[in-house]
Amino acid sequence: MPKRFERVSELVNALSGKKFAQDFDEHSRRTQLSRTLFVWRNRKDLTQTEVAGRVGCKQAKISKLEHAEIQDMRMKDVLDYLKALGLSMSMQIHEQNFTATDAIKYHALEINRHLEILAAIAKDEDENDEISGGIADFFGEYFQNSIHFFTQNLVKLPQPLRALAAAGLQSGEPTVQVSAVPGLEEEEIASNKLVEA
Amino acid sequence: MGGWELEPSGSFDSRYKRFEKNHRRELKALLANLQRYLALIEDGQSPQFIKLGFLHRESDGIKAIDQKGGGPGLMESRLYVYPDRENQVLHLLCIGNKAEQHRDMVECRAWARQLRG
Repeated sequence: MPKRFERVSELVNALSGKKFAQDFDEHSRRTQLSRTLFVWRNRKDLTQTEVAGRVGCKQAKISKLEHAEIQDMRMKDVLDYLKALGLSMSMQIHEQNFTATDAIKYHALEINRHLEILAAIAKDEDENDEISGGIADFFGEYFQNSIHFFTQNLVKLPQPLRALAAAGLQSGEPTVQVSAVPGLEEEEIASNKLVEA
Repeated sequence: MGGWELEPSGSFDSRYKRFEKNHRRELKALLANLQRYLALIEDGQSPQFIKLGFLHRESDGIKAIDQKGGGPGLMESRLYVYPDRENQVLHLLCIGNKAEQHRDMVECRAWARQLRG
């Protein structure tokens, strides 16, 4: 079976000399933002000329921005481009040794913060079935998705680690005590009543 | 989406090495555009209907990626690919310059027919 690659940089590493592979890898990392802009423009089904029209610049400038390395991009140009696409941007600043587990913790806290916002809206809009019902549906959907993502990756762990992680699930103390949530009994979580609700 | 894989076929490996030796800037530009094309496919766009300034539609379902956007003064170059939607594989068929285009396309068409079965 011929060799297959999941990424272009993986292909380049396999076929090239060390110097070219390093150069390309560096270029690939430095063009991550410009490539993201390019993907978003295509999602929005807009041409470079149309974006240029909205920004008030020439098409060549848009083309240049979509191929630029990060150190050559001006923040204002990126923001103008995003505004033209009806998008905004949020930035995350972190230590250089920021790990995958740090990222997961960061996002978990952000998710918690947004769930609190939704819960507060649902409380305020208690009599508006459309809003409160929509939020309840979303909570159920989120619960199912997060369990799905977790189990999907748990099974990718090597067998001994999988068993270790599963043991941790049973004995570990969660950061947030679900049983402490008013009006929600532990057995309701265990029997998946939360999803059914 | 996601899940697409790249598979070098035909004379891709030998042409790649020739370009790496003699036309490094062109090769880098072709690969950067391949990365962009792949990003759109993985974002859920149909590989046959994507329209881009650096992407040319050839016969037998073959697409030719060029070097545009890689900077000034680059030799006109082509990276020929054949997207297999069913198996989610992007076959990399050949790399060549504009002058070799006719000969390269004859070779790529033969490979594409073989891949189609």
